[in-house]
Amino acid sequence: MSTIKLETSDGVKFTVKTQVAKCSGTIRTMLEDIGINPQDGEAIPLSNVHSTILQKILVWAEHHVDDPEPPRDDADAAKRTDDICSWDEDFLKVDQRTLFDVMLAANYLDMKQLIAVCCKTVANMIKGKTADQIRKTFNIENDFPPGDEDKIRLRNQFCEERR
Amino acid sequence: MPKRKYLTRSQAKRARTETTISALPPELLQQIFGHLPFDELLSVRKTCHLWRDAVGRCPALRDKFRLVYPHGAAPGKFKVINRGYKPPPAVPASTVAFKCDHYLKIGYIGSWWPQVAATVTCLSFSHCQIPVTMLRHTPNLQLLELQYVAQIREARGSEPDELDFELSHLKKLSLKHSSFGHLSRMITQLKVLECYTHERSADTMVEFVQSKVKNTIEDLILEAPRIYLEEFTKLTLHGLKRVSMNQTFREANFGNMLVQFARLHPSIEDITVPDVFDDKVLNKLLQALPKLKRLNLKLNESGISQYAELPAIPDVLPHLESLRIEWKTSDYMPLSGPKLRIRNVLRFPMLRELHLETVTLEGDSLGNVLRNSPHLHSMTLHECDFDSWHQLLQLITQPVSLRNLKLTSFRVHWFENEPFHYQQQPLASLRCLELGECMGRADEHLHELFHLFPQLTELRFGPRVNVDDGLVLEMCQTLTQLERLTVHSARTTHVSTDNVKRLCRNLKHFTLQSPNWNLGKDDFVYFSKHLQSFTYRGIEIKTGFSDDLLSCIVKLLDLMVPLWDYDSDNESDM
Repeated sequence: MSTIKLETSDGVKFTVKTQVAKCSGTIRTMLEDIGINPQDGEAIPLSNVHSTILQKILVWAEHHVDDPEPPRDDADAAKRTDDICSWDEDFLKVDQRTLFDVMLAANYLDMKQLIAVCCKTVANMIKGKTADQIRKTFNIENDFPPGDEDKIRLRNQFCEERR
Repeated sequence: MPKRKYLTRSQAKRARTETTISALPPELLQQIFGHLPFDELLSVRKTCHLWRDAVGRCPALRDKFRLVYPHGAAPGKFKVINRGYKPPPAVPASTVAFKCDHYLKIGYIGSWWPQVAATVTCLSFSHCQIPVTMLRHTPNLQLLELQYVAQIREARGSEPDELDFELSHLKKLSLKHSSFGHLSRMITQLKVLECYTHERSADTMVEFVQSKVKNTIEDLILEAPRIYLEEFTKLTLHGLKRVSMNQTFREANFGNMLVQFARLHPSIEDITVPDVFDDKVLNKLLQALPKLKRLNLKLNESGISQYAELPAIPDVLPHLESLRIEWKTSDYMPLSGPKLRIRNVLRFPMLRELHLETVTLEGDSLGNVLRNSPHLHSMTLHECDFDSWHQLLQLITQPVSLRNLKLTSFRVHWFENEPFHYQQQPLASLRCLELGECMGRADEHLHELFHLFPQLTELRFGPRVNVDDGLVLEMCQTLTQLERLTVHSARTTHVSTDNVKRLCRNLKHFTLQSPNWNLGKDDFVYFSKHLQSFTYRGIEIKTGFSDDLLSCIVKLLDLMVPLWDYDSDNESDM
């Protein structure tokens, strides 16, 4: 089985099965379209990804390498957040910093399925919380001047769910 | 090279120490927020500037909001919207509605409207007088709805304004008891036109269609279609794909007009027609539509007593994907409906959806259809009559790739003593079964359905099905794959709760609407912890609920449980 080498931002080199590496749209494009030849033994530099994160992402890709292509334009599936498979659920039981690093890296590597499952996980963390609780959960600073919240509340009054 | 490496390392290090949710780019935030329902999005907007803007700048998220003007005043206070009415800067929304309990006059709103209108794609007015010039500010408008609306050229007291703008993105126009007025000159193309009127003439409408949108119209929705139909038969709309006609006046000539209309529009793929009981008319109509994919017969309830038989469905529909026979009934009233006649062996090789309401099914005629429709995906039999239980079972086991089955308010006249022998393997394709009220002794036989469909992942018991301990036990033992369970009406003891906990290993979503399904406080904690969602009588019980809150909810709901339910609990405890 063919392998390629990847080099992370901190200079660590990984040898990865080509098929697994191709879970990343970015790497796939490099190999297929731009024609980088992995046989040369030179590592593909991934300057935005740290080794600890790439390691984690490769575990995910290895597990999902044989997944079928997801159906496109499935509006219903896109809205749901309760369909995360239990393996992914366990995989993403990590601290927030790692979770967001994984998301950023997945975004850079163009891994749509991993991004989707991360987004669902974060959406589940937001669900059922007030603005205050959301800020506490994610350590976000309230940058609205005092009094603005009342204004927003007033605006929200005009707003209802679109049917 | 070393220099570059040093930089990236430091960047990476910084990233390792500081990554929070704020590091995510807007497109990732928007994808996350896309999973949230409306009310959660309002909380998201209140969190910080970054998140508020992420919501506001994303069209898909704006689509979830709908602004309603006027708001916040006592009913009837704002009968006029003018200079004195200025709402606070709005949540950016794609949909805006103006409506009022009384008649609403919209005057000059130029001070705030342009800002709101810039991103609006859907706009609806109800019981209003509107200045047409306000549409100048909605260049992105795709859907415009007018219900009991009168147009004036411009607001009183505003500068005179030319009507020289176009609504070039408008796709759908819906006119209910409202006339075209000045609109016809602004509309350049239109895909969907909905008309609802009791006026006696459709001249202006037909003139507009003829001169402006003849080649773009794909979809016509006509209420009281007789008025339009006569005029529309003079037109040929080349791209017409979908026609819905919702109401008719009984008139002998209607059928012929319909046929004439169909012959001029062979491109139609989807048609909803009211009150066609005549075999000949239906036959001619369908023969004129070779591309038909969806047929919806919407029948008037007076026909139930008037006709003993439904019109025969002719065998001329090779592309049919959906067949629906519906009744417009005002009240809940289980009835024995007219007989569905099926001549010949119909072949609908592409049929995916079948919906039959208030129909008496004779013998195996429908079974033949189902055997010849290998792609049938969803089937609904609502208020249907069956000669015997085995006829029903025979019927629903015919379609080989059925995934969803709804059996609601069905009546079975005869129950065989011997068990039903299913010739082939149990049906593996069915995933979702919904059961409604069943007349006769069908309650006692429901569990036999579970054995026919052991792969069910979703089961819904409707409001009038009596779910008891026996049925729950059968369900738990047979349906090992069950993931979603909904129960509306039950009379069970804690035995059922224990069985669900013990045997339904794959259950993820449990919706319980019945107060008479016995649950203790521990059960609430258990279900909320072990399931992905647990909804009890309309309240979603979440894991985060404190003990106090749970006790409170249970106590409150308990107050609503009828006394006799306690009696049955005590019995079961002994």
